[in-house]
Amino acid sequence: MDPKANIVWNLLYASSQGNYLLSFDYAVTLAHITGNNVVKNRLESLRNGVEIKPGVKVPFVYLVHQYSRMRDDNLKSKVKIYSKGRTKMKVSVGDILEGIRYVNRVVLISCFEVMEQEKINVDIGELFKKDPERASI
Amino acid sequence: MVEENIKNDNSIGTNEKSNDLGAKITDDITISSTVIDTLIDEALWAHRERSYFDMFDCVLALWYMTKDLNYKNTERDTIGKRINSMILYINTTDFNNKEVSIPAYNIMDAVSMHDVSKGKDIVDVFDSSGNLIHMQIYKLYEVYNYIGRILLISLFEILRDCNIVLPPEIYAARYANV
Repeated sequence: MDPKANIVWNLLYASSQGNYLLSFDYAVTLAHITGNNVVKNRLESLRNGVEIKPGVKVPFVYLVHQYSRMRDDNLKSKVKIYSKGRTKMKVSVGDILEGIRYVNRVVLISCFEVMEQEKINVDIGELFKKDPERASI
Repeated sequence: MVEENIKNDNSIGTNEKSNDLGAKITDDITISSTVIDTLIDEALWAHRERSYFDMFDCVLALWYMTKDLNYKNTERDTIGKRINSMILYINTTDFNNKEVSIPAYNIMDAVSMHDVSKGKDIVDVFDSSGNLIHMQIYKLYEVYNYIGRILLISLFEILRDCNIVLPPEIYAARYANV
């Protein structure tokens, strides 16, 4: 398996496991390794801030961090969050989750875009074989 | 603001190829693969576990072990300087949006000491001059993630440039235990 396919393999696996920080890292790595500046800039902009409500941009890592904290606190329905510009405001768990899932979608779309452009082949079946539950689907 | 600026020039490294390194190398050489395979495996595992202390060591060791291989796209020194400079400082901003520089190990230490259950939003970190500064927790994690991302990019640059190919089983074996 060549390094690019390795990155894709790890990205897809992390995404399927809900490990979005990890899949994001692999997406950035894929963009760097293939020299795809469009994807690189797109991900960089998400890292700086995801718009979870009109006018409210929150850095991706902070979103994930807040989400895990909310889960630790027995799923508080609302949480105070700093947006870009450090305005403190209350947002719901749904807003945060939607932001995270949005990033995941962008990561996956970017991944498949790069795969097509670079003609990277990854055996998706092989990927799911490692996960018995998915393999049985 | 953390700068993600990976320098990637087209300088060509040496053309020497060593056959005493444990890696499977495309082109025409296939050699035994103990050391390099293990380092890559450990580095990827450390990244997955977000244990960047360990990942730092593995990527630096890999960089050193591949010193005799041909770096095609990225100058070997560029990768080394990038990783080593993180040990000295990473530029970011503190709680008051003032620019500060913090060594990577201080960031990693602050993350390992941080108790999520206490729910503190602000943490204390030592900067590169030894002064205690205050950082928002999300900023701390952002810089921490930055370290992991840069290490991951550097790792794959080494793999790409040196044509190091690993069997997929090296990952599958790890994931099977998750």
